[in-house]
Amino acid sequence: MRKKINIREKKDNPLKKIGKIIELPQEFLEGATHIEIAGNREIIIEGCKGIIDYTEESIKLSAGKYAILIIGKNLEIKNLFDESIIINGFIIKIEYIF
Amino acid sequence: MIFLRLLNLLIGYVVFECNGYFIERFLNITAKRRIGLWGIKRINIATVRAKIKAKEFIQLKEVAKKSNTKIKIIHKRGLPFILHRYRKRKGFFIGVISFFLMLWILSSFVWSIEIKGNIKVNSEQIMQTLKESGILSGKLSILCNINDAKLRLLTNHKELCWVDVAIKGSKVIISVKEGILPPQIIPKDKPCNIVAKKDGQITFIEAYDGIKAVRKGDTVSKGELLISGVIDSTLKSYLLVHSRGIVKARTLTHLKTEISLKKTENIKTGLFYKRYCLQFGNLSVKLYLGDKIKYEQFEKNELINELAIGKDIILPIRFITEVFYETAQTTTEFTQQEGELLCEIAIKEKEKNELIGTLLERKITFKNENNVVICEGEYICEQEIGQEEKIEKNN
Repeated sequence: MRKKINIREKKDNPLKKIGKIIELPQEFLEGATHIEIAGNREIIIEGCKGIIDYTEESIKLSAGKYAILIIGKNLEIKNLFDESIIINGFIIKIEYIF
Repeated sequence: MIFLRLLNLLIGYVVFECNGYFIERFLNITAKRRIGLWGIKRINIATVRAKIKAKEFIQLKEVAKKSNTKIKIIHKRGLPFILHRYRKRKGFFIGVISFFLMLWILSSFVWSIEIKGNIKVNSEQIMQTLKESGILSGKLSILCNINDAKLRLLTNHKELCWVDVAIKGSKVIISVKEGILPPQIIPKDKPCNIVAKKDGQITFIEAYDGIKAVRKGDTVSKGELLISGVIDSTLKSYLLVHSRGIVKARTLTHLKTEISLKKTENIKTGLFYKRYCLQFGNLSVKLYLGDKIKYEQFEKNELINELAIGKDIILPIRFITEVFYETAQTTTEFTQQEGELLCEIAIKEKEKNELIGTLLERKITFKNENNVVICEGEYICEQEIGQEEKIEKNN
């Protein structure tokens, strides 16, 4: 059975409510994964919970509720430290896998 | 980015290979334990190569055990490994440290004093004043009192209007600027007359305080009374005032310049050669063989290069280059016209510096005596000729 994708907004907790009022960036408060892409040469991901797969052609990372799949050539991990990862190389495809 | 690499080299890092089935598990555990890995590359299906800080490498053993992988060291790079390799060679380290220590100690002393910018004041007098305030060659530079030296120089030598004393490493550089002494001003409460500075014919006279003693058109000689500070009054027998006023007169000035038409001088032929020597304080080491100079007639030029770390720390070591230029005697001759032209240029320069007031008439004559062109100029200018002179009470 396919997993149902829940797009309905969940009930906001007090912190989120304050965040919305002061207009703080929502994503950081939710604790979501932050991805920065520079061209197709470098990706910086913060909030990565773990590496699922690592080869030269594809890297699959877990971001809690979903997974991020990066397909490319000569992929290298430039830096890895506790939830932050920088991936270098020739990136062809970036996919979210739910 | 390059700074990070240098930093990593300083701290020391290890390039290692991790071999096993669950490489991803290995990476996840290191990430979770906050062990920083960088430069991760996959070598083959079961191997990954990465770099890690030397200090954190020890923790990998446990991680490898947990993830069922094997660790192999490929390279060990960085300063700590170099030191470890040479830890037995204590003499080398002692040598390096003592070199830097000697450098530091030697440049803490003052070895040479340079004085710049003094024209009228004698360099020796300045050195003497410095000695009094404690700046000598051979003294510790921290013990030298700069402010005391500055004050002493300014008070002892009235001609200096600005003094800077800077200690750069082992050299003390003193820069001075001389100023024009202010004219002797007689204070306002003392009575004085105004007398003539020069001979001349009065063109304008106005007295603000005191009584005029001459009129417009009178001819006066140097020292003659122009405005009197002694006023006859009916109430007292006389009254003394500090006279003030403007007195302008037409004066005659003579200026003269000379140029000789035949000049014999030594000119460089173009040939030269260099000699080098090193100087440590007072000791000098010759870097050449033989003392004889090749040319018959020569001119010597010395280039002193003081070794310094950067711009500020000057060491007591000098590298001297002596250049010897061969010279030959040549005579150059000017024609009368060229001589007159040169004379005129010289006299114009003198006019700029010495003539004061407004120029009314200018007459220049040229003479030729014994192959020397003499240019004489007569100038009539209108200038201020008033000068204060104190009134001395005689009885």
